Amino acid sequence: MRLRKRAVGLLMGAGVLFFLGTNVQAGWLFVLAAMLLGVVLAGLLMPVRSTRSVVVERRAPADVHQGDQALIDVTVHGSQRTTRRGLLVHDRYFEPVDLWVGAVDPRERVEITTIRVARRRGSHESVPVSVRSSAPFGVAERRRRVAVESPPTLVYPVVEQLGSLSFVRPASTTESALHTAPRRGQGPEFLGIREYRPGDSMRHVHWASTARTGVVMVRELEQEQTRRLAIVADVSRDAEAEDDGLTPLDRVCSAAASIALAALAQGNGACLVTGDHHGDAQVMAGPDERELLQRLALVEPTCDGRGFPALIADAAASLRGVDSAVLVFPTWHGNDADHLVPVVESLAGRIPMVVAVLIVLESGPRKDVLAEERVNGLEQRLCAVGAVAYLWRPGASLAAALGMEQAEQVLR
Amino acid sequence: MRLELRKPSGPAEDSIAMRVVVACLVEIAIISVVAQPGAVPAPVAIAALVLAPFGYWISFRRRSSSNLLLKIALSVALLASLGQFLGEVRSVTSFDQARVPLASLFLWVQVLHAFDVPRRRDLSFSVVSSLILMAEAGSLSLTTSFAFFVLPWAGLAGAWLSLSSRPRADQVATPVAVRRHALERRAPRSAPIRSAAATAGLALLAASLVFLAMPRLPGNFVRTPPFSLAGNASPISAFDGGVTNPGLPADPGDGVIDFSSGGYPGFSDVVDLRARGRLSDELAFRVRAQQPALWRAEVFDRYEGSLWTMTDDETVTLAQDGDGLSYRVPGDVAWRNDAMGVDSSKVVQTFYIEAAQPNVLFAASSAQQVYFPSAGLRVDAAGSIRSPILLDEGLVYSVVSEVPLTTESQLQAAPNRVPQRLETYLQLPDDLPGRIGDLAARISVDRLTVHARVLAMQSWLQTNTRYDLDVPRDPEGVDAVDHFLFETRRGYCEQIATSMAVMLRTLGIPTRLVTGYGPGQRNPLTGYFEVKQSDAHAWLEVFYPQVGWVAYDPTFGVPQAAPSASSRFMAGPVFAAIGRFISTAVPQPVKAAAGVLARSVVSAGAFALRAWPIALVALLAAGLLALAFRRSQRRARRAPRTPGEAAFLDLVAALEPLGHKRTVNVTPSEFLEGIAADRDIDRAVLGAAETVVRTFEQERFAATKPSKAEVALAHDASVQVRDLVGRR
Repeated sequence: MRLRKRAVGLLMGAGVLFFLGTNVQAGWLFVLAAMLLGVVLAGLLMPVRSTRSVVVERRAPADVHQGDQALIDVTVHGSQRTTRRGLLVHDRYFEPVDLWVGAVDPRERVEITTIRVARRRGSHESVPVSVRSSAPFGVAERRRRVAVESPPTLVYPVVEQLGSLSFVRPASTTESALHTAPRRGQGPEFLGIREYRPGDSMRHVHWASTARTGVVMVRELEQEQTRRLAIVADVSRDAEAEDDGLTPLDRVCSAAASIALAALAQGNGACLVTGDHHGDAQVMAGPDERELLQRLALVEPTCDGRGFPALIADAAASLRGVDSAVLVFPTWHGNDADHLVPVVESLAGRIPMVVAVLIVLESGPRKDVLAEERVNGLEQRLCAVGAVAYLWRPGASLAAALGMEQAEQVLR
Repeated sequence: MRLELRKPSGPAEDSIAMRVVVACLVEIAIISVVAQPGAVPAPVAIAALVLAPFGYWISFRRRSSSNLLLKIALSVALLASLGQFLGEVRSVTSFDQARVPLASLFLWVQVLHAFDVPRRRDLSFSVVSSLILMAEAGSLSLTTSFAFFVLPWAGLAGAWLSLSSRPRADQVATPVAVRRHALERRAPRSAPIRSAAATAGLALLAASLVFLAMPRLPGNFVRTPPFSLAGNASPISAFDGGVTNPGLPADPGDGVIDFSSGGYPGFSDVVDLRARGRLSDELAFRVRAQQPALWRAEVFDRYEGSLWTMTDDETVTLAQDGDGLSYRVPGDVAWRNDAMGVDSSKVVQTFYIEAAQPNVLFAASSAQQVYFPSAGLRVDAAGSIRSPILLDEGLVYSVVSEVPLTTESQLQAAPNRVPQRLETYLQLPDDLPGRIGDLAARISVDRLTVHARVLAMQSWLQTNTRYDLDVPRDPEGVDAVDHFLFETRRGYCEQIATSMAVMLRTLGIPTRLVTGYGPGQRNPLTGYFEVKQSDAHAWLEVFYPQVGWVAYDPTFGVPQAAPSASSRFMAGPVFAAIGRFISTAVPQPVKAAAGVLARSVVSAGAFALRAWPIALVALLAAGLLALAFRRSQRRARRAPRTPGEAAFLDLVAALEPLGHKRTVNVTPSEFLEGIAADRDIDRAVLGAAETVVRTFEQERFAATKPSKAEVALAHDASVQVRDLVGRR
């Protein structure tokens, strides 16, 4: 229960009236003072009743993209017998909003639909709401937390329509590109373990299983057919959101999702490589659109401490057979040219095309972000070792950063 | 250079309801001030009443504009009204007279402010201003009729508090849609009304309790209390300090002037104990004072068998005090009437005369300073103040009195030795029957102190005599006290007080008879003591050496010199007023029945106290029974908890007219089977019933609950069954 300014005003008014009434012995001043105090007393008691046994439900879409608007329904039930008055629901789902419900009559449901912006990427679990009432006199406010059960909403990263990616070779057929089921072969991906068959290479013997079972076991590898594009994303750390409401990690996820979806749309396969909490590479091979978005929606900073160059070095072996490797990373201080260029050079020696998408961060006073001249230097040195570098600056669209708009204009 | 107004801190208030409520609040406040006689001049009142609502309308229309020119015009008008106030207030001679220009200024401020109230905050200022106006009107109001303004104002103020407690549109999210739907068809329409009534009831109850518990403290001394003359004064020709009582009837010839409805014979140069008659219940005057008191008028010191007269009827003129407004009672007069060696408190009283009174000023205890609208006041040796004009209706005067705060211990410690100068107050007629003194001696036997004797005398009179206004006139030639004490023992306050005074004199205790008015009834709402003509009264004062004169009222009891703590609260007067109202409104047979009932309850309570174990067991049993009954009632009234259950219960209710009554031991499926077995049942009804039953069962028992769409379908199905059955 919180007293509001109004209560103080009423108490002071009553005090002044009582003082005047005492000194001039005017009974009506006592009546007015008593009325003010009576309102304070009633105003303290009634909000307690107003918030009691109020039930709140929430309905939200199952998934939505970051920055998109979503319709959220909040339904409030009153009690069975008495009117609940002056209800205000404070809901922090997606973004904090105050919903004025007003009076809810007995056995009535009030459904309020609002538009809210999904500002934070990830899974939005249901949060309790705060039901407030200061009815009827606004003297004191009673707040009560009410648990709300609703399924979580998954907020995907922002996806830009990029059209044809210049650095991805179109697949021969759509059918072959869409075929994402793993096939046994000589690809880099681990598919399973089976007994040795004549003809199997000794290099594929899985010694641990062999020792455990007493039977010679070999690793079975996936056949690489459709994977043309590997996206290696730096998810090691994050920072505060910038003016566009996106954090550096959001922008990484957005770039990764936009490029991957564009590649899929072009009939190419895409795999996603991120680091885990130990700094080891996690390869997500052959995901479809939904799987990819779900993965990127749930990406959180790993804080592994090894850094993006180490991740690229680790992932290099996994990227065998990939046509293009797209490195998506913010211009953190750890991603400077001295650390990054050698591993990119090494990668460029193995993969036909290495693309670097530099998420340029506002440096300002921050020391953990590369300054503008160092970003330009990094770009030049990456180009010098055979990589194609794109700078995605804050406020610019990714398509513009990748030169897609210019390409479209040329096509027109 | 471009002149720009600073942008307001909040958005304009768009609520028409709130603006209408505020305008009505202000209008009621203005009317309440205007309704007080003489509070504001009529042109100002009319202008305020017309302009204020117009101002609120203009303000609403221009709520989003900067209103630069309007603000300049309002500032000029405000300065003009302030100038007018300063001009008027310069010529006033008392704070009381400043009320009229002050009220005018308040009204003008209120009216001008009404033209520029764009935001909610500005409207709040208007409401506070209206409260100030109400307070001013309340302080001027003399009657309970002010409730006609207070009650609607309070209702509207409550509405304003409710409306303004809602958040502004910019403080909450703007919804895309708001849908309200009842979970049942029978949504009670009276619920909001009941809720509002409960709110109003609770606020009223809380305010009433606070009012009853609010102490009435003495407060600070008001330096310039009000006084004024209403209409033309009625001067007394050849005024020499004597008492003129225009209400008394003419002398019928036998020398005894009886009571008339508006004339008390005690307000004259003599109190005749043979006078008879009744006074009316017409209001004589209202008194605003910190505490109740016997409003003293005249003092008589010489008893002559059936008359009281004054030994010293010389009067002196009161000199004007240094403030030029009041008159101070001379120190020697005050000294003779004042308490000596005891603490005293200043009590300021303002008398509002409602019916013509004699030219005697009423005052509590010993008057020290008088605020009166006429010069030439005179005072006699006992402190009775006479005016050269009659106290006509509408006259207002104030008196500052010293009220002694005597304590029981001081009275008990008072010595028995009487000063020489007070022998006048021991005078008795030569032919006073000796049995009066004998009776007094018997009553006060073994009482050693003056105080003990006085209390014994008062107690004896209260026990052995009765107040009676229907006693016949005393026979010719008898002593009034002797006749009263030994023949009738019934009589007026004059006989009772005289008897006590005379008996105390036989014991050597100085006494004197005082006439005036009783305290009257305190109006709990206005705070004024309302004194009726029939409150005219006689009592006595007893002199205690080293203490002074102390009043005693053997007829009704004496108000305490220092008010008790309980008298500081309004609960007593309120309950007394309610009791009086009930007493007048309830017919006698009902009152008698209520009395019997009350006595029964008291005797039952007394029995319960004696046999408390039985009462305790009975109380517990009754409590348990009440609890069980309430629980069963709740269970019977329990509303459907879920939509599926509601649909099922609706289905059961709809099929009852067809003879398919469900008892509690029939499961929903069995109920459905019963319907299916009925050959007359419509297939559509059966299909819909199955939908409802299955949904209800799934909702109640299945692990996977039905979706909202399925529940909605069940609800529709139950409605369909009702419609189909209804058509049949």
